[in-house]
Amino acid sequence: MSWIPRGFRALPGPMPFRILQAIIIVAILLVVLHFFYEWVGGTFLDTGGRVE
Amino acid sequence: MTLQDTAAPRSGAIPTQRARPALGLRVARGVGWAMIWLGLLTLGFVVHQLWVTSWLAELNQGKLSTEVEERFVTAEITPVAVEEGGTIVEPGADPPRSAGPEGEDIPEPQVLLVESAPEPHSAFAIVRIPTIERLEEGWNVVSGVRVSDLKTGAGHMPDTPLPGQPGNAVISGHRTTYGQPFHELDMLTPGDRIEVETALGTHAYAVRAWDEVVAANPDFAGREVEALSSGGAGVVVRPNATWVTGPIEGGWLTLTTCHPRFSASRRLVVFAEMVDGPNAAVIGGAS
Repeated sequence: MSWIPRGFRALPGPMPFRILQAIIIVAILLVVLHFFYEWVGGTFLDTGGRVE
Repeated sequence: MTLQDTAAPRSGAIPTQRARPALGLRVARGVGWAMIWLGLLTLGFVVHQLWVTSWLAELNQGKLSTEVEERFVTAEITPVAVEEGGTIVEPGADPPRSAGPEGEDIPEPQVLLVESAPEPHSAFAIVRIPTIERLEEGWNVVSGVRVSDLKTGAGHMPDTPLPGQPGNAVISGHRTTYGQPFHELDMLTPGDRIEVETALGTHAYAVRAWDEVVAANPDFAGREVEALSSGGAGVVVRPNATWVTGPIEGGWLTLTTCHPRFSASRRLVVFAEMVDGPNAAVIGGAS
């Protein structure tokens, strides 16, 4: 887990700017994760029930 | 030697390089972290599928309710005269009044109400099942069964008739995610009531057992279906069993969803026959 604080410290700029970058990166990761979960769920768990 | 002596170099001493943990320890640590992350990802997946998708579906249902209300006001309704035997006289024409060759009255044609086709991917109906708590209040139905359609509401297969019309109207819905509207479809038993409200009014259907469905449509005889272990009226078919969307004489509603729960390997299909509504009296002979 030490890569998380190390990654944060590696971000450029002053502290407020670093926090802003971290928030943006986390938001992007969550969006990517959301679409990945949607794909996995829609493919294997519940397609919506249509016959095709 | 004290603990302090070993932990920190004395002032002025040359700092020594921290000893690298043994390979076995490093591998164990790596595997441990991988397992923790995998667990977190899996937990996130469960939370996403069960709660996030349902929250999104509820948000969409709110928007669709407005769309449905608008549709109920703006849809064009055309009366169509239907003669005995199911022949459609002329869309929009007044039912003809005439006398037979010897002056006896010919029975007046009945009037079938037909609503205009909804815009693709827009909400146009509400499905209610009083015996299923989740669907007591109703779930909005959109026109289309694309993945994006089914995330917002139940989806009506565009190639099938609209609910309330002659033939087999097919509606699909999620079983375990996106609000799980059809979660308890396996609990329906023969005779249970399903209602679909459209611009024409409320069409009521009664769930039918498989042998009654086959009697109404002999083409379904011999098809590969499995009965439900719950004893429900639905049948289990393969995901590519498009024959369930085929025409059935009279007014029918077919609901499809994934089966078993938490798997998309099969489909659960429930058939219901129209028993009441604006067109129920006419549809018996219309085609």
